[in-house]
Amino acid sequence: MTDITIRAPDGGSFTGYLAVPKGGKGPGIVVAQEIFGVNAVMRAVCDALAAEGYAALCPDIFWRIEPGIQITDKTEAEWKRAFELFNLFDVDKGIGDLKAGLAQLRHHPACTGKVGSVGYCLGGKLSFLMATRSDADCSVGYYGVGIQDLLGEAKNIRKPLALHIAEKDQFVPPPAQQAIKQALKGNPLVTLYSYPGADHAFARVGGAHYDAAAANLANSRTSEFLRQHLGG
Amino acid sequence: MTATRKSILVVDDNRDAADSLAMLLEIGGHEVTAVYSASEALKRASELRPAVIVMDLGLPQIDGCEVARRMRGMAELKGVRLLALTGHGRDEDRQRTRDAGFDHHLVKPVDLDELEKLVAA
Repeated sequence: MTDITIRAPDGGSFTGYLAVPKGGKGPGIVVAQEIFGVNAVMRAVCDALAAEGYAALCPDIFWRIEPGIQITDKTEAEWKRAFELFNLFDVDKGIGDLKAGLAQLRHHPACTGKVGSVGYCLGGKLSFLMATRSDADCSVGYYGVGIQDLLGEAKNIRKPLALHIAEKDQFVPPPAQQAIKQALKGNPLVTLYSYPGADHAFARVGGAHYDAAAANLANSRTSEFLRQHLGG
Repeated sequence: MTATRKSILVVDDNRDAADSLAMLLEIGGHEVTAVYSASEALKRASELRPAVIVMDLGLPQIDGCEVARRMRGMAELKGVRLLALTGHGRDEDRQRTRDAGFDHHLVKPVDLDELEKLVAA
């Protein structure tokens, strides 16, 4: 488990946390972070994916705002900062950074060459955009926020995409969920999973809305989806 | 980065591998074109006259070594640097690429720093 340096498409560089599987090599996964930076939760996600046999890379996509920032969801001040970061974040540049991370991971010694993406919260939206704007071999988004405003890009999806939707998501109101389901339900490349009663971030271990049953179900679905499309 | 900007042709029938390598080289400040077959490689090389060609050896239809031999016979590619990209690194593999006219033999997964140095040289 180590930090690697990723070169940005428009100059400069940033770090990414890379977790490598025990065997030394596996399919790659670019993990798109929540709004708290590459923190302990995101590193644990990468470690868990590595335990499943993947080379998991979580790029520091807030580096343009504050390199290396990592905060928790435990205090009001941190929440305030997280939303500031979210508002300052340039989505298009962030996707460029994730694509650079993906390209680097494809050629990394720990990677078989196949690379997917998995993202949470803000990263859930970014994983949707990785499906529409990158050559990721598959993408998974957990409770992505703001996808309803990006559905015009859905026609560009070329590889399998799975979205986990929390039906009680405080940041994705029912009309937004309806719009997402309506726009994507007929797409053979898209799998939608819906979790009744689950709130935003239901799979964030230790989070206020952690829902073990929903999280376990979503994670098992993700594992199967990744295995099917990345050959992990 | 623009001081050493080179025109590069990347050849690999694995599109994802070709495109991602092209992207990494572009980030390095180079002008890169990716193609996915031997015939495209020969055609585009003739048109673009790149300074460097990075070629995967395991191309369907025409083997990468044969493509290199043909490129060495093309007047418009005089002076081009040919880099072989392959999963094999035994002495006989290296001899084979040398005999075909490659300047360098890179074993996958490619060391990006080494590739950058060879491209910029």
